[in-house]
Amino acid sequence: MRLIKANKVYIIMILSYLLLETLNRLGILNSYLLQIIMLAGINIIMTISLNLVNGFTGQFSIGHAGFMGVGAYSSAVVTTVFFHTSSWPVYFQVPIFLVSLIVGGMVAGLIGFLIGLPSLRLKGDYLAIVTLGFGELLRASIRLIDYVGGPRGLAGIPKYTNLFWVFLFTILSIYAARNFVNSSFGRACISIRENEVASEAMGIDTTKYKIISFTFASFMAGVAGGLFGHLLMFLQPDTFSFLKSIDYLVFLYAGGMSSISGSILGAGILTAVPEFLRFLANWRIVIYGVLLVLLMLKQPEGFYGGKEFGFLKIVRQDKKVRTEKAS
Amino acid sequence: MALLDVANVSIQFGGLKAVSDFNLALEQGELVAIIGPNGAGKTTAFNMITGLYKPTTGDIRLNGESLVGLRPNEFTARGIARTFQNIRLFNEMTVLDNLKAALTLQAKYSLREALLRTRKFLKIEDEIEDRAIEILKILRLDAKIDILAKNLPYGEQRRLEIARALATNPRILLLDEPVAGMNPNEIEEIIRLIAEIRESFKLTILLIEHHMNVVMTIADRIKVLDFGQTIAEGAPDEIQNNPKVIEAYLGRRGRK
Repeated sequence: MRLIKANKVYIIMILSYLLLETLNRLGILNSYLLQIIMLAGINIIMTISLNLVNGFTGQFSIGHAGFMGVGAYSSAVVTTVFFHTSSWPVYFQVPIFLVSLIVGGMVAGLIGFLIGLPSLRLKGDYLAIVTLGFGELLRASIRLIDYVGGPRGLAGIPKYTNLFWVFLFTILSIYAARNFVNSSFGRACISIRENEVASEAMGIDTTKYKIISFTFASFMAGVAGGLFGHLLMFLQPDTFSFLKSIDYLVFLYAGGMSSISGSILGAGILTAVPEFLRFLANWRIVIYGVLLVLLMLKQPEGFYGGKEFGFLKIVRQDKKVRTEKAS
Repeated sequence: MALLDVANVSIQFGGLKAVSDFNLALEQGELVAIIGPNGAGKTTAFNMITGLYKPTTGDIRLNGESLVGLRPNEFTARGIARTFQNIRLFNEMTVLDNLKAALTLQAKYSLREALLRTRKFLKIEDEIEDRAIEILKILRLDAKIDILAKNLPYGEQRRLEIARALATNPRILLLDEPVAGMNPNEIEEIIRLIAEIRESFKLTILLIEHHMNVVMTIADRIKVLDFGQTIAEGAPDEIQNNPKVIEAYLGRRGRK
């Protein structure tokens, strides 16, 4: 019983995965619903990574989809163009897919690092414009590379992304973000957001930590991009325009800044809502817009701003121990 | 050799010379106060000694090593910490996390170790937490550990600023108006605290203060600035009777 209690969260996660998988296998979950669930997972990874930069570090980046695009293309190039995995024995295909996701993350992370180096000196709206510019630059550059199909896009990507991989990578991202925030890296980033001058005066190399958080977020976006490409099986550069970056900003604000739980809720709910509003036909986007406006007016801190689910909190020493130490 | 040697430092903003030919030699363990009317350049001098402003001319040496041109965090890493006149806490962080953020330099683990929460990471995190609580205890803030910094009363915010500066493990502590806006009881407590931390951390202290009682009680030496120039320097009783200082504060006696 105690074992169950201590590992409650893991058990709930595994059970909910098994439930979804069973529904899927039994054919109750149609492919349309399954697709939405998987997109929600990918969007959760994207929103959490954006939260690290915009929420926790307090830097305003609006080009996040660019990194997703870089990751999606890099990863698809590994499986589709470079290895032609579909002609390989089945048991080789999945490992190559996993490697391709990491490659996607690393390429996106590297580009994030190179872009962050000069841009993160800027603050606020100036940084926003520069990240917007770089995001569009990435998309436009992909259009110029004939090797990956240029503006026509890259087709024939094998469908490796399934419920299991999305579930696994979403959970990994959630934990990675939680551990990042609850370490000296996270505290340094939050202190930069709170007061950059004071942060520097406390010996914190603010440029270094801004770049670390930006690079880490780009890496996560790259992995999400890899999952995305192997889900849609077709990539087109214009998918990753600034409109997509804006989507993630909306998910982030609706969920609540600086809350990992908020990002989960924001991306999860807002991916699903427009789909469930389809019966409204042309009124769908109007209603979606109205709902967003109402949310921001009634609850500007978002679904879960400033709060975290229990399992995302880390209590290092319980209060009793602390008070004993203090007294 | 002095611990901190500030030699002929000047800074110019456009056409305005905010501080000119500022000299200061701080010996280990000393407590020196800088006083002067508003706009005399006291905080500007502080900002140069902590790396926030780069002096136009002159040199700042800590134990013989020149610091000019380094970034503020590098000044702090070498042992110069400060508090701010207009309090600059990490408002949305708890008191404990304010301290832990200031202990970032001590967090010697990699990003990988942090993400995997390895044993080494957990051990260092425990040490950081213990150290933070230890310092908060000295500043009598240990009962407020889980309160957001912005929700602390004013006097405690000032104390948290000092605690946070101490967490960087400084050799020299610069206090910018530590008792501004405090009531007499709080002032007395801060004076006691400054004496206490000076002793226990073996600190050299440089402070800016308008409150004359405080300055005269605790300073070994006083430096008086006016319009960016040093107009007097010496022990408290010499300064008190210096006609130039009286003139700077009260103006010249008019002639009939």
